[in-house]
Amino acid sequence: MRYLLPVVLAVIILTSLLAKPVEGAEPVDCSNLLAILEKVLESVVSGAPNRELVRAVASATVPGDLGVRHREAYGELLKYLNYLERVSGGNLSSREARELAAELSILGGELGSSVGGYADSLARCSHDPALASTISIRVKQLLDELVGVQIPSLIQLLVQQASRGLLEVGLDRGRYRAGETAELVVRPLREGLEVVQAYIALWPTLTKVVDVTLVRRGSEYVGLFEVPNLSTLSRYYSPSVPTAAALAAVVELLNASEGSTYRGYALFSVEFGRPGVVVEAPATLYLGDVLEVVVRSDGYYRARVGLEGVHAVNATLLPGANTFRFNTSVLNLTYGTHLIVVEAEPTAVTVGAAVTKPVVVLPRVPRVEVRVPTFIVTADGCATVEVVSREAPQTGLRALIYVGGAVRGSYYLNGSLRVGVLLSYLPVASVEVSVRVLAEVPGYEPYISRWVVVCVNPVTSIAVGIASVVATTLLYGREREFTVLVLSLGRRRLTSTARALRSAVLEFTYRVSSRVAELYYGTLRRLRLPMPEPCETLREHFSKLTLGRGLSEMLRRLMLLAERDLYSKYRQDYGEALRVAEEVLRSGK
Amino acid sequence: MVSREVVLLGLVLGVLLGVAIIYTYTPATDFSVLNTGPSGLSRIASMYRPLIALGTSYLAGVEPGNYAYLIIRSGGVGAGEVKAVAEFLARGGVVVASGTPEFLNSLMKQLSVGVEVGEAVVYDSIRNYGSRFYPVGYSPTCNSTVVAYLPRYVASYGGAEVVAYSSEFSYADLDGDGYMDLGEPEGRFPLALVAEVGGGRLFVVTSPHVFVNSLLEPNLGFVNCILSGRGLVVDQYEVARDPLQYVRLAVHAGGASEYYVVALVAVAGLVAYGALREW
Repeated sequence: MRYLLPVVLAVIILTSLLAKPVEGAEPVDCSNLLAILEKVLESVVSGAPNRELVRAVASATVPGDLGVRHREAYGELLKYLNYLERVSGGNLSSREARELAAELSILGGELGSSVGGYADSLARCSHDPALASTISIRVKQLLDELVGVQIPSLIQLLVQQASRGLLEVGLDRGRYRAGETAELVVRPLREGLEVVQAYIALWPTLTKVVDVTLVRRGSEYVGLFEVPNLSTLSRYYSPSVPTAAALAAVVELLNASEGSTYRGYALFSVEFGRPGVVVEAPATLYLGDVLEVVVRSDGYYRARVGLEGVHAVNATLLPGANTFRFNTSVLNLTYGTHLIVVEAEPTAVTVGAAVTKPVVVLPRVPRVEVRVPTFIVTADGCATVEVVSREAPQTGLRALIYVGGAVRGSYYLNGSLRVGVLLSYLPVASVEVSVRVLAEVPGYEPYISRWVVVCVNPVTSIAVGIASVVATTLLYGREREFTVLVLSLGRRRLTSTARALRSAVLEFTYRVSSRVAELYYGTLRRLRLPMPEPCETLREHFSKLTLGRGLSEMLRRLMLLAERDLYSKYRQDYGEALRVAEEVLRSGK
Repeated sequence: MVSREVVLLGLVLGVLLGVAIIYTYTPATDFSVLNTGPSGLSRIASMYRPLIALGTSYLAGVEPGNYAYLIIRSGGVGAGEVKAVAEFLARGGVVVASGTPEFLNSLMKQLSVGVEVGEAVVYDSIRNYGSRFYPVGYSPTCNSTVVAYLPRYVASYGGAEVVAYSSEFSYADLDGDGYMDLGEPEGRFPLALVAEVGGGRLFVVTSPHVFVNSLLEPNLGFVNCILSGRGLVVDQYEVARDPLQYVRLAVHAGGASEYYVVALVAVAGLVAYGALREW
């Protein structure tokens, strides 16, 4: 019974070996998270946000670094919804409105970077490049709408609330393109207010960019100004100019009787032209294929086109389709997702832009399915291995089956293969079976499938059991005899091994392969006589020896026996040779 | 005489050891009532003390008004087996069917129920039980949550009523690549359905893992709801293909206690040893 515990432990270990590993894809599906982000942004931008929906998405478990970005992005969106609720709730004092406007200005920047960064991360790890590309564009549009239009409008609303009761500052529109002409209207709401100065400033830093001249028209002041263009604003934005900028028309009024100054604001956004560049490329390709990238451009741009971190070329994009080809067999590409990047440089009327498109580089492996049982009870120690081709029957597919690292067989596939493979004759064994399917055409990687098979052999189990019982029964009380038998067998084995070794050395050194010749060589060695050179015959060698008459005669007999054993088609009598050798040794003493 | 004693002792110890192995062997087979691992049904077995059926023919002796029959299979079912299920339903029984699409579709087709389960899997990245492979759904009928593992996509369910569905964030992976692709449907998908068949009710659960040890706790409300106070009969036809499990399940199905059998074999072994030694 003392073996019960080890047996139980062995069964538990076997059981754990039998547990199937969880198969499947990665826990995070970036494509799906990107689609959800689009859905949420759509609801926020459409003005009917579902707070519960956003909260549910924000609290979802997303592992790793992506999870941090997920929480940050949805945290910012929830913050924005809170601000929105406070603004629409009304009853804000001037101070609260000003503070809220400042917080919203900061949020605008943070929201853009965190949600945009999260969307980029999702697009990069997305499994379906086509879906990622489509949704990314939409997400970017929605984000631009939210950050570039809706949040500035909200801020403007708050700013108006902040200066309520003193003056109204208005513009003919809320959004302009760089270089357009805009009209500023200032309406003092109290008597005795005079305009001191008016200028256009960056928002929210209020850094002055350009002055605006106002003229009185009845009870209000009006002025026309040119919306700052890219070259003017690029001085204030470093290192890169955003695609849209929030600016403010700032008007300062002086109350002459009180000697105090008041400030009013009108916020507006400026959009800069963006290069219309669209990248078209296959979503996936096999390593070694030629990657054809078509860049559709709406104008002339200097650009760099290539694969991020791998290879890029400088080019001039012409209006229409521009085709670039990359031979992936000469590029240092790894399997997985790579980004095709087209970086258009800024021009006088457009900002610079980088357009990316992911492409998945795949190893070309034969599409096959391998089926190996993970647990078998077998009498012959064999398991059936099945390999089924999932493509149309291919010529030149070969399956190599390894058991425990050693090749058990090589088979050609004709659509499918079903073969019995010897695993083990042991009563219980855990064997690693691996199947490599090789395509005998260039450009293919092998398909490798590894399995651990637990193999139980009831026949050998019973045989071992019976043998144990028989051995125990037979050997009971005869242990000494058994030990002597084993030792003598061992000794005999050692003797035969030494002989085999000696024969091998002789055959290697002197090219002899005869037991009698071996004996002759051994006798020469024992007599301390020179050994024959590999190039001379035994007779030539013997003629050079200087020996006594009796010894010479005996040794000659042995030499002739050895010669006949080497070259005759009949083997000589080894017993006779042994007797002659003993006589030679006796004479030589 | 000494050698004979060795043989006898070896035989008796072998028998005892064999019985001990059978009863200490914890199988890892999915949906086995003996499997105490995450994919086993040992918890449902210890909670509901179910009857064990080693085939659908067992249903002939079960009172349909008092029992619900839980059948989880991976392969198709034969006409004879379906006939036994249909008779059980006709007598007012409740059948809860789950397993692979092959099994469910085979059963639905032969019972003339218009439910078709596809190979596609439903994932949920937002409302889930730790990862998107475990969508958390809701059953308005039972007012309880349903946690599934890789539930299958129900392609059509004419004539059946949805009992539980996944959240609005879930999607169906139609191409089976494990990820969402352009054109793959999003929204709520059925996780469990019920159809009236004969005089009984047939529940179709798209994920058999709803009943396993690791997910039983969050699904207890739903399981109680569909059992509606009935006793449980668990089908172990496929599990019983393992000879070791078959022995234990057969003993269990026969109503004998496992400890009783072990004790009986041990006593019999000792008596046999004593008797043979005297002889």
